Amino acid sequence: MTLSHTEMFEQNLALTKQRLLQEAKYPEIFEWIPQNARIINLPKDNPEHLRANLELAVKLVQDKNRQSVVLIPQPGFETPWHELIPIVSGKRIVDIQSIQGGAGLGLIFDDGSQLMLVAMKQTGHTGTEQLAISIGMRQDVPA
Amino acid sequence: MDTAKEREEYLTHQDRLRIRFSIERGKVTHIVLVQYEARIQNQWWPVVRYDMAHGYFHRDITKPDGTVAEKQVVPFTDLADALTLALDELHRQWLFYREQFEDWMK
Repeated sequence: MTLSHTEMFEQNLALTKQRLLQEAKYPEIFEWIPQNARIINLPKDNPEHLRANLELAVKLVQDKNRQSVVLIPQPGFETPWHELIPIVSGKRIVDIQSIQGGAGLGLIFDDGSQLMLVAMKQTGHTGTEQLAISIGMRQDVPA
Repeated sequence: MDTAKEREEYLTHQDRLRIRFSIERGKVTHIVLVQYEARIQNQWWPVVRYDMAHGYFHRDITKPDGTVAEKQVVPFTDLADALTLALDELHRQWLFYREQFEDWMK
């Protein structure tokens, strides 16, 4: 079963609203988000929704747009996200490389294509921590 | 000094929000723009926008030619309230706005 267009819209709007209200109050928590980034939320407790959003993320990084794609996990998110990417992409992983001092993963698929994921734990002025994941082709992920 | 932040919040393959706000001394001072954009016929179109231009928070429903079909003031008490009003209204009305925009394109 897959999410309908309406379900995906409304569930993502709810996640966006939750985060924007937090940001309106404590803007420093998200001050690291690159200008003009494309943002996708990762829900913490809905695997179907998570899968749909990862599919959307993979599609965005494969288009010709050069804007960063940033995945922002909902607070409490504990899913092993890097294991879901190959399922979504429908390809088999032949190698996983540690990159950027262990902060990221390079996933190499059997057709030679690659996806890079870099996790960033950001700490705001108030001490609040927020995890974000950049996803892109190898040359797209910021250092 | 004001810092302007802009980003695109993806909701589906065919829907996104463009968010633009300004931060001054660590506080969000203005919601410059909350704009619902729909991908129709392989192109992104602004369908509805909420902004604080002209000194008040208002909603503009836009047509495919870029003109404003309807402008309405949205009374609010603070920034969080303005955001909540805009996003809650989008939650209720986004499909209507989208379908209306598609009708205007015919």
